[in-house]
Amino acid sequence: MAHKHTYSAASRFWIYPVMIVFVLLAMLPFLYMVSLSLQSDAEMFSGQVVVIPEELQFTNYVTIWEKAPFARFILNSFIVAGTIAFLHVLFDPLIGYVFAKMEFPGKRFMFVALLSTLMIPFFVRLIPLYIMTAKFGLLNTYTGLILPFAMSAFGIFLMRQFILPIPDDLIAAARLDGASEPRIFFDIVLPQIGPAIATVALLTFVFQFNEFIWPLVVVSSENMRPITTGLTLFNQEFFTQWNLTAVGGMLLFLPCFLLYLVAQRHFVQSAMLSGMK
Amino acid sequence: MSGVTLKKVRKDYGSVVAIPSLDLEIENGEFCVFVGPSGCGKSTLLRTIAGLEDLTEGQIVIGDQDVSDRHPGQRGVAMVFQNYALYPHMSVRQNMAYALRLAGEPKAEIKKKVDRAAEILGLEAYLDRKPAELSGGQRQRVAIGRAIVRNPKVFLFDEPLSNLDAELRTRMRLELSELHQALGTTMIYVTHDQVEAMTLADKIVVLRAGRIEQVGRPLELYDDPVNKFVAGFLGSPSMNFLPARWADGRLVLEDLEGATLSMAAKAPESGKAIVGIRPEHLEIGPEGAPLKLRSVEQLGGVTYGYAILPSGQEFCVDLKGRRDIRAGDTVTLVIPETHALVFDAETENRIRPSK
Repeated sequence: MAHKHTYSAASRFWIYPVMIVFVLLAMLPFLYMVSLSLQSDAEMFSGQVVVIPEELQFTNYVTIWEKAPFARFILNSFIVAGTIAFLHVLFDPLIGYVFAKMEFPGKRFMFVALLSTLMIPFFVRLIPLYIMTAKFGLLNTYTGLILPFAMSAFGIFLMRQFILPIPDDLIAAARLDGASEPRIFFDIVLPQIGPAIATVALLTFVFQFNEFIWPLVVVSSENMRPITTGLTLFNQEFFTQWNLTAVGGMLLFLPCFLLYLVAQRHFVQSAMLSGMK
Repeated sequence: MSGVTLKKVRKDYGSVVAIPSLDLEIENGEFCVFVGPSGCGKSTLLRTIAGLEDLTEGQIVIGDQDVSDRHPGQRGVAMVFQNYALYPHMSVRQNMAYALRLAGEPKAEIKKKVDRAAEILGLEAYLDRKPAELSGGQRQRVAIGRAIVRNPKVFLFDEPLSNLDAELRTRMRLELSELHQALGTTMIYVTHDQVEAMTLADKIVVLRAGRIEQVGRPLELYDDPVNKFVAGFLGSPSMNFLPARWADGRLVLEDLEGATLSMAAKAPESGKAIVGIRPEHLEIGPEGAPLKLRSVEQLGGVTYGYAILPSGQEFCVDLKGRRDIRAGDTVTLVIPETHALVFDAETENRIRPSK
């Protein structure tokens, strides 16, 4: 027992400093972004790496709203990421339920086909997806930004994994109680996968809030830009206003961080249950 | 209240035939138990009656209505599952009220029915608890309560006591029996436990590989089985089987040093038979076939002796009450001819004495 105690104290002695170093390394870009967002133009272009600005330029957080229609960008980001997250909450559990609990011809093939889409990099699909979006006349529209991401193989897979362990007898009992199939789904299945739904909603929102390539490809009008591509306005021909870009980065980070704080309990729970890391 | 009639019921899973063709009549108010080993099709049959499995062929009639194509919720049946199948996110009251809520019954009526069922089952104090906060026995009561509130024509039980410990199982068995007497509703009960079958049933249906081996009252099946399978399945400890051969109109039991039994019946062509005798029917006398006991179980009120016969067959004898007999002792057995059952060694069907 004493030996075990000594061992664990020793391991703690080594593990904590190592972990702190890694955490600091991981946080370094973020901390530098915070620092950049508070630097003056002079400090930024001084040619030296400034870690702590001499004078904190909180005015950068005001200037950004004047230099570009940032309120509109944020609204666009919220509309697109929010709608996509909502559609995932609607469709992923429904399709996951069908794959987990219903029997139909071709189920296995369809599931494998669905999963195989996870192996295809997005950039491979980018051009055909763009052509389809253009042919449907959806360039520069919310629909064009949202539709290609309305469902995801990963979300469906995650939901299926969570629905699989729900006992079949529970569904049979509801059927015997006179519940229709939609009722079984909404009354019996959905309440039991709350943490998983919260996780899918959170991950989808954060991922879509940070999406850069697809809006860059399908949106050319300034009014339809989300924050991510909106930030490119500070990237000009001869110089980039890194301090304002960093302020934009902070605006991207804050909603995601707040959302995580709210849904943290569900997120950790479902990550543990699904073995997802 | 209604009886249940199964006509030429067949259930296939792809190319696998689970139930080839089955006819059965369950009377109104009867407690019918389907019993058989694992995989015999008893749960499949129950789920087919419930409508949870589609019929491949045949007809299911409940009362005077053909329910073969009806949705499970519209057949007038309620089911109690082995793992309780309670909705974990709902309270006991919500669990019991769910079916009534779906049926659109008024709130006051739902409350009355749930309170009444809770009173019958002693669940009044637990109505606001979630299933996770209940013991196994309480959960099973809630599952039964959920069935009761629907006032079904037929109750279906799928091995409802198998997740409970031995003591609780005995208590719940008695409660189920009392419930049946109080409600008088037709009940169909699936189990692989022959004690449950013997104690609860008005009628036992013994199943093997999706076919009915025998139907009858518990003691009828116990005393007068039609084949070796039924004889061996009912009774605890189970019936002893001894290989025998026909010689000069008598059955010779090689395993018991050539002891013979008279049997006034036509011998099968092979001349080989199996003699079945229950442990409690064996007698210990001053003269008879000697049997060396390998082990002895003293259970207080009863003593069982066990032996391995020369053919390798296990053999059990009820030594009648408390006996000072130990492992390694030899007893002399007398087989009363009136209690010995004879089976064809090939077909395993019963050979009855000619009249």
